[in-house]
Amino acid sequence: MTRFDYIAKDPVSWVILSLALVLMPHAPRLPAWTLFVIPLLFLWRLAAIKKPQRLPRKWLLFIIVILSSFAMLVHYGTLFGKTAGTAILAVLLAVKLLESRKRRDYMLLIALSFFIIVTNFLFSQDIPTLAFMLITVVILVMSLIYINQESAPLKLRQRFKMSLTIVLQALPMMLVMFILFPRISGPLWQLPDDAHTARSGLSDTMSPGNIAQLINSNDIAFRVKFENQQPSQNQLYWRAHVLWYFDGRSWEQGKLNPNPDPVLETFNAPVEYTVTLEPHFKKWLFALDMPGEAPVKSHYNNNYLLRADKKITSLYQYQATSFLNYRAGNILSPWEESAGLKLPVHQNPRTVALGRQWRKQFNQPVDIVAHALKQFNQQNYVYTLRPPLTPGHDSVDQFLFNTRRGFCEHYAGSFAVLMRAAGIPTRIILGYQGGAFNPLNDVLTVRQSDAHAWTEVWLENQGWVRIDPTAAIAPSRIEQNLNAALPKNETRPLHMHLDMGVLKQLRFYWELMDNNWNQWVIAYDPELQQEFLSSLLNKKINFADIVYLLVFTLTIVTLAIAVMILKPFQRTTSDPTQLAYEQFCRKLARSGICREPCEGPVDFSLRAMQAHPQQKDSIKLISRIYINLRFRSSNNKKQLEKLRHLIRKLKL
Amino acid sequence: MQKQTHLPVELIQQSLQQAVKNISHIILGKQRQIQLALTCLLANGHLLIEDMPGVGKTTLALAIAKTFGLDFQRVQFTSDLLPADVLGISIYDIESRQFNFHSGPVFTQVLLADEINRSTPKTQSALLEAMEEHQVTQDGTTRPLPKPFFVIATQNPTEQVGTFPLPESQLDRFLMRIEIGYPDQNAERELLKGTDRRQAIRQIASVLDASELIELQRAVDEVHVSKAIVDYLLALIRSSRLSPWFSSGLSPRAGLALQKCAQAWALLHGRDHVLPEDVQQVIPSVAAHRLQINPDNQHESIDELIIKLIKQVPV
Repeated sequence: MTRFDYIAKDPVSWVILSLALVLMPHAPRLPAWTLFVIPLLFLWRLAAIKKPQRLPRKWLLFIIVILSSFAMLVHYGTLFGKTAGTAILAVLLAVKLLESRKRRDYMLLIALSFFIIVTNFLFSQDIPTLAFMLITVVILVMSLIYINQESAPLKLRQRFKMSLTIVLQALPMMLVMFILFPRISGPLWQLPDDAHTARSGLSDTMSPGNIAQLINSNDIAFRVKFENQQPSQNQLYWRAHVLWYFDGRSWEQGKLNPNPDPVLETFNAPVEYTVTLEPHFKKWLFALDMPGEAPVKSHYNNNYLLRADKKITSLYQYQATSFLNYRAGNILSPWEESAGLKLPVHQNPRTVALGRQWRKQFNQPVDIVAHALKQFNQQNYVYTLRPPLTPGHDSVDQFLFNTRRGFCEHYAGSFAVLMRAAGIPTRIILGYQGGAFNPLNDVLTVRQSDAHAWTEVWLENQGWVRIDPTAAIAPSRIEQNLNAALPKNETRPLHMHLDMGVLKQLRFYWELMDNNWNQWVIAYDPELQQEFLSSLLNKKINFADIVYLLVFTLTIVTLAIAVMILKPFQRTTSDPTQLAYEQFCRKLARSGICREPCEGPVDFSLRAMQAHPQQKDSIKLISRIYINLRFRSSNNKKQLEKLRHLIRKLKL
Repeated sequence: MQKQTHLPVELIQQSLQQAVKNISHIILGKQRQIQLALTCLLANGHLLIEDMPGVGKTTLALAIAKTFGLDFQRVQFTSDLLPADVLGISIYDIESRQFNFHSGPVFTQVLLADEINRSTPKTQSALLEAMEEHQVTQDGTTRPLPKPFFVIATQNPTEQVGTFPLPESQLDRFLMRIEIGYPDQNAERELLKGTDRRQAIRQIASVLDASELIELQRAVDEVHVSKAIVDYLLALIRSSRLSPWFSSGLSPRAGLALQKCAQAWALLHGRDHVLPEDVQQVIPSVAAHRLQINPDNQHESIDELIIKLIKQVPV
């Protein structure tokens, strides 16, 4: 074995550890069978450390590759794309391990691992992912060091230190690249179709139970930073969908409202705010009731809703304005009148009958609304996350007259049916209500669990008026949050239990950090880059400038790191005598007499005296004083002064 | 700060110069070798002279002994020499009915072990033990050797037939190893013209005596070694250990030897403090026999490599 083929004893376990760490974050996304196959292949390689003959033959590896590729094809229908691609890469990595024997193989594996680390960011770009990936990089570099060390193996701690140093040295580079690398709008490469994986979120239909399901999700829907004033909690109605069409059980958007130019009269200054939206792969933008105008790259639709021009596939930020005091759609269009009163025939007969009865009983629609809300409030209705099932097409009847236990969609739905039966145009609004303010940075976080449904009724001279039946049954849902509104004995989702005391404080801190991360790192797009660099350099920046700046800064940083590592200017001594003497040597060097690093003072002075006979005496004296000070251990200030003085006076 | 030394350096230098001059009368044109030999003596170590026969090894030893007024014994090492031949032997005396120890030639002040590599390792090690311990233990009795005790061993280059090269561990017992080399033209002319060398030795007077030599040996320890010099020594030793030229670097004992020799060299040149030059002057003689050349680097001699080592380490 030649010197260069030498590998430290047993690098396999280290490489396997690194690979396992690299693949771990992918595990939940991989097909279940790979979670058996990959560890199995790892174990096989481990078992073959001492007995290399246990390693599989080439043809067997080939079969494993073919089989697993086929299984992938069956599982995903493709071998390409984000998920399938990383999955097949993960399996191939494990197979490659089985044929790795030489250092070169392990180097290849580790290089591949670095690539797999990058693929993690295709799925998640949050702080924990970054932190975990940085740890993984340190471990990978440790493995690289382990593989490359010759005869004397470093101790674990030394390797860790070395790896950490290498990674830390790369950090400035990383920062420069992050800030200055020219950004391309949109993703760096076209993400394949499977990029938009299903996730739990608000849907654009409403049927009994589907909002209550969403309550279990603690995922963040969006964050809001208000510019001037913070609306109170009961004004935080985040509008997402307007549902017109009812089939007896579910509410849907139905046909597009052809009403041209929705009219909005406003009575006070708008609330201005910035929304940071988590990607939901839809065009929906959320805004407070009622949004004033459409933000850039979006439009305003006839139902007072905001829609983006493109699907939101990454963290998206927009500035919006809303008017909390308004009159919307004072003139009811014929289409709205008919759609707002339509009910499926022969369904929910008891409810419809009740609505019609109210219509006869009361003169004013306002009184009907008030009466309905009073009914909800005073009769024995219960607000609960787990209402009994109301199957079939008469679900409103069942809820209203039998079960009387429901969540917001039950109340909003049945209220709308009652109103329509009573001849008041009504529509369902889906969205979010509330959110939690982080006291640390006044950012409002709205989660999926804040999903809500309410109604709008059209009243003469008032236009579309927001009526939230839930507020009549459980006012604390609106005034505070869901947790406060649920009955005491009801089982709550896990995240609500965690939302108290120290944990709540910690969560605020975490959200603060997460929010800053989103604002400054994830949201760093071409516009923000341009803006940031322009304000930094106080001039308009174009693409070429960014490239120059990048090259320039990278050069500076590289040089700085090189200087730090090589330390060419490091002083070899702090002894003032030696420093003075070095001054003397420099002076002589300028006259052509250069002291060799290994040359002693006597030898040097002899040479110097020969070259400068006219200065013989002072050179001799300087050397003598220097020798006395440095080698005879006399720490004499006077002598040092004299030495300095003589050196200063020396003319060559 | 460390204490200032108050050595009568000028006086010492005068007498040592006298000694060097004295020996130079006998060994012509070999001033430096004589100085190194005296350095070794002052540093209270033993000297190994390695050279061809006939360049004056024995004469040098004799001249040193005579100059310092020391007893002199000489043992010619041969392959059949036994330890008892060097150390001495107990012989049964019939009259007194007991064993009487008859001390060997080792009981002297200057011992010339001529051609030490021609004897068997057993005899070599018997001598080397005596050198290290300054005493001889025979039949359970420990007998101290006279003071000062200075061994000059000569060695023919080991390529010659019928030799037992000294192992590294035993080479380490010698403080210094020097080579004498051929004299230059002028010196050789003088040599041929002059009287018989052995005759001349008889004529030279002793400059110092044993007690004065012991004083001088004590004075060597007083020579000041500054922190700068210690740093320099450390750098040299470290560099020898890291260097790819040598398969193993200088041992701690070699470091001590280097320091002591530099002190002795400084004293010999009339200084009470060590300069980097002193270290550079003595290091070839102190380090050469202690370093092993790396097999990859056989094309350079050990002396060349030591010069390279010196050049590599900044003062």
